[in-house]
Amino acid sequence: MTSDKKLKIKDLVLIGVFTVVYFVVMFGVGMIGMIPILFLIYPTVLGIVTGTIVMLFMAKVQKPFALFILGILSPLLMFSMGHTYIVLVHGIIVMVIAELLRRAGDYKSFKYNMLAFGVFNTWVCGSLMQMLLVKDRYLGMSIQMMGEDYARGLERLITYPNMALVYLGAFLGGVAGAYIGKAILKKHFEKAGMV
Amino acid sequence: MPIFSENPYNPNPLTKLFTTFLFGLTVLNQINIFFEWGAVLILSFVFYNNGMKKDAFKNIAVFGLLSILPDVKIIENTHSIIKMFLMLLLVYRIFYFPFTSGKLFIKTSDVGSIISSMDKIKLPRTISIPIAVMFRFFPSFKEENRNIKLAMKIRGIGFENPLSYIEHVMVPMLMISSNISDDISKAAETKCIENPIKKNRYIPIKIRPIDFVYTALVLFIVAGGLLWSRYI
Repeated sequence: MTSDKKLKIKDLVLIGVFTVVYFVVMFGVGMIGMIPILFLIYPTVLGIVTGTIVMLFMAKVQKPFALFILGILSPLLMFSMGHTYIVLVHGIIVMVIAELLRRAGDYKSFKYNMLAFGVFNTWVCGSLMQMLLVKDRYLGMSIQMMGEDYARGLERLITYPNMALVYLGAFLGGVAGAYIGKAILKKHFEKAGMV
Repeated sequence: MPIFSENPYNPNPLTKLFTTFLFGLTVLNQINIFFEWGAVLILSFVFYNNGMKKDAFKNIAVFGLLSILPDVKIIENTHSIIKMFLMLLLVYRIFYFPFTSGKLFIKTSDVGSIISSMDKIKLPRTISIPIAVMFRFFPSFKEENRNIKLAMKIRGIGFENPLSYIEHVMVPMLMISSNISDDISKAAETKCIENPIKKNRYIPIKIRPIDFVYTALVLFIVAGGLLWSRYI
């Protein structure tokens, strides 16, 4: 690895700063999760909104492992705020795939960066995956509270095939976000000479 | 920034992180209600002795409400929208212990001790520097965010089209963040952050009796609770 491909302090600071921006925007978007059904499309919306942030980041730091570190900091933060280890493990797996995709495009190509962001964006599905694992316990509690019919309806909603749809939505949202990000980068940041 | 590390009842950040992980195990397997109350009381005890009396009482009251929730029979006949919101409370009930433990971690740890505990477990610099920067950047980010909202209000830009709203907020936010990140890295460079020697920290991290007691109690509750509900 040549020395200019290594992460320097400047890049590490940029990772920290962009994680904060990403995390705050993520929480802002997360407010729609308050309405129960909408949290199934939350990953898609998140991808569209945060596309600009991550695309700018990828344009600024074209080095190995930059996206990986940016990506595992958010699950790490969520883990320390009380999510289970599932979010962390799931996040690491997703980030390895995203990092490999970026490597395939030599960190510069838009096509591979776009695919990498699509994959990157699925990390947030990890928090929904937790729900799938606690399903039995959750249904047991809701039968007590809501009655049999409601729990049956819920059981049909939370399934692995439906989860695959959420993943697909997250990926497509990520791709859409990447295109929006590219347009905004071209309109504002390239003119200002920041990329 | 308050410094808690002098308080003999405050476990160090590593302990708090480890216990958050342990409490995470209660999400997948429910533990017995008596053990749950034990966990609530321990968490409240730590909150109370770190000067957060309000949080300590709130913890007990909220858990009390949540634990009677599934048994309330009146809810069955209410409107389905109200039911949907109550379902969220059930999710909160399942994740209650890890969330509260995480809240304890965030509220009672100061930045200095978090950074020195990252040294202690020999976290690579590529992770520890971004985390330290995050803590430094959060307050200035809040301030800049307020400024952007103010500037938008002055120009009369509201929330009409969601896509252009994203552009109006995101572009200045990213510009400012990139500039601040350049400033921070210059400041860090002048303070010789790349010097590869061992660094002294202003706030050292200590292992005290409370760390052992707290970990042991949580371990007892989680392991005991799991075994109890499985075999008895």
